[in-house]
Amino acid sequence: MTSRKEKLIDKDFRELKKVFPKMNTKTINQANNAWLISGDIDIFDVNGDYWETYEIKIQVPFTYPHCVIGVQETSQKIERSEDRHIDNLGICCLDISHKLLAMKMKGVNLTDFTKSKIYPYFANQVFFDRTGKYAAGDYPHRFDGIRQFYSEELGIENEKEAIDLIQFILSKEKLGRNDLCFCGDKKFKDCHLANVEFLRSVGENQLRIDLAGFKNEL
Amino acid sequence: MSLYKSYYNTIQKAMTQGKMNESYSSFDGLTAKRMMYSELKSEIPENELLPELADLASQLGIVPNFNQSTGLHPHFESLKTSGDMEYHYIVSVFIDIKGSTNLFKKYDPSIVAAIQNTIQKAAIHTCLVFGGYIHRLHGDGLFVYFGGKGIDKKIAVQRAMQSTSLFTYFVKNDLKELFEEQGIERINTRIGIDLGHDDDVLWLLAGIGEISEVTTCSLHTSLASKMQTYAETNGIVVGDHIKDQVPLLNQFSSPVCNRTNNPNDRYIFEIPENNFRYTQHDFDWFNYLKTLPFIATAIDGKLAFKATNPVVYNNRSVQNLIPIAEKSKPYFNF
Repeated sequence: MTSRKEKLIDKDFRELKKVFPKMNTKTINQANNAWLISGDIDIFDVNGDYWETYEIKIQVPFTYPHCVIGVQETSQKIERSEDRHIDNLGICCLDISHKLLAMKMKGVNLTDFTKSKIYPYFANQVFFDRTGKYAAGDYPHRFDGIRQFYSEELGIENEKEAIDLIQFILSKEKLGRNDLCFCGDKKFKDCHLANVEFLRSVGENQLRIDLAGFKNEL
Repeated sequence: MSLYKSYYNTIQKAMTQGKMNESYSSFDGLTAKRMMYSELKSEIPENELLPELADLASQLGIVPNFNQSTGLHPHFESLKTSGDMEYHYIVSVFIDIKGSTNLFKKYDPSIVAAIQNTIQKAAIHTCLVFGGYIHRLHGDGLFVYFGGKGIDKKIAVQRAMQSTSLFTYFVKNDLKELFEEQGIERINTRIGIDLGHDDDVLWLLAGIGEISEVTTCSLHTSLASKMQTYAETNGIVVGDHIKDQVPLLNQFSSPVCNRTNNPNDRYIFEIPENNFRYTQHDFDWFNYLKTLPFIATAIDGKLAFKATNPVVYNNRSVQNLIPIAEKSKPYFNF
């Protein structure tokens, strides 16, 4: 860990505290090579009405800003069950891994991440407590969730297309924007280019997991 | 803030009623005005707390004392008859409410009285909730003591800081909005607070006969009053003793001279030959409030009271969570 990294996390921690003033403790978790930021997060609705406060720990790996930030709910206000997207230790599944990995590649900002991922997750938990459902639904667990993500977010409707796409990326073959797409359908830029660019940012490890899952489905 | 919703509504009602009857000042004389004033005054009970403030008192573990009378702190009332004097610490708080004169430009005095009464009631109730003792009312303002026998000095300081911070938030935010809606120059507060230790504060009966009060003779009571005049609009100025008593407050304090850029404003009092210099500090009450357990902070920086009584939340709608909650689509892969 360099002093440059320390300066960055200190600066971003100060910014975080301006928006979430009760996220006020920062320690080092050497075992996990991460900083641990803990405190309370207050949940309000768009009308400015207060709903709930959760005590949480945010784990920020030393590789920050290129990292996947983890969150643990420690106030025990959320039932520990798969349907609540939280494990027995209170580790929260904020989003499908692919989106978090893509954010890691681009680099995250602690405050922006807390606003865009952590805060909505807990607002959604409040919503679930009152209504028994999530405001925009949730991903099915494990590989079913991945399949849904490929379908909904990438528009990939069958296993073969997914496998071809992932294998193309893993092959590291290069195609120009105006070349014919690897699927042979149309120009690359009008076909799978956007998906290829996104999935490249997810990283090979996740793609190999996805590939194995899709092959199993065939 | 929901804590003051009923006070806000009453002031709003008074303003609306006052405007609806543009000829109000001349219609039917005193009887109608009496009725209007009395109706508005009864919106907020005097000797009991509305659910929000009652909830806060309960969270603080305080039973407000509605039976107190001005000029007679209950812990020192024996001094009234004995004529004796006694040394004991106290936190002195001067709350000045400025700008209400502007109300006379728009409203009949009976409406102004109803508005002033509601604001003053909010201030009194807030102090009572935190165990304060209202020593004197002057104009729209208040002179309040915090602490007394058997009360930890540190807790007395914290309660003084918390109550004045909350009330200032109400005036600066809720009332600002209301007054701006009505096109009135807004009301604001200026507050001075200081702690006199046991050796610094002499309690005694001042005055003659019934024209008297049990009060403090203390440099630090005098300084609290003086520091109030140095406070900025909606500001709180505190003395060294306050800051020293609760180290947490250090991070929310800075010498007044840093704001005014005038080195002469650093010390509110000094005896150079004794090397005694007493600094006055601006208190960052807004950021202090955010750290309190009964306060929640929204992303936009607005504050809310964290009630334990569900009645306080009757008007919430879960539908208002959707625009935020729908940005999250959770997954599980452990």
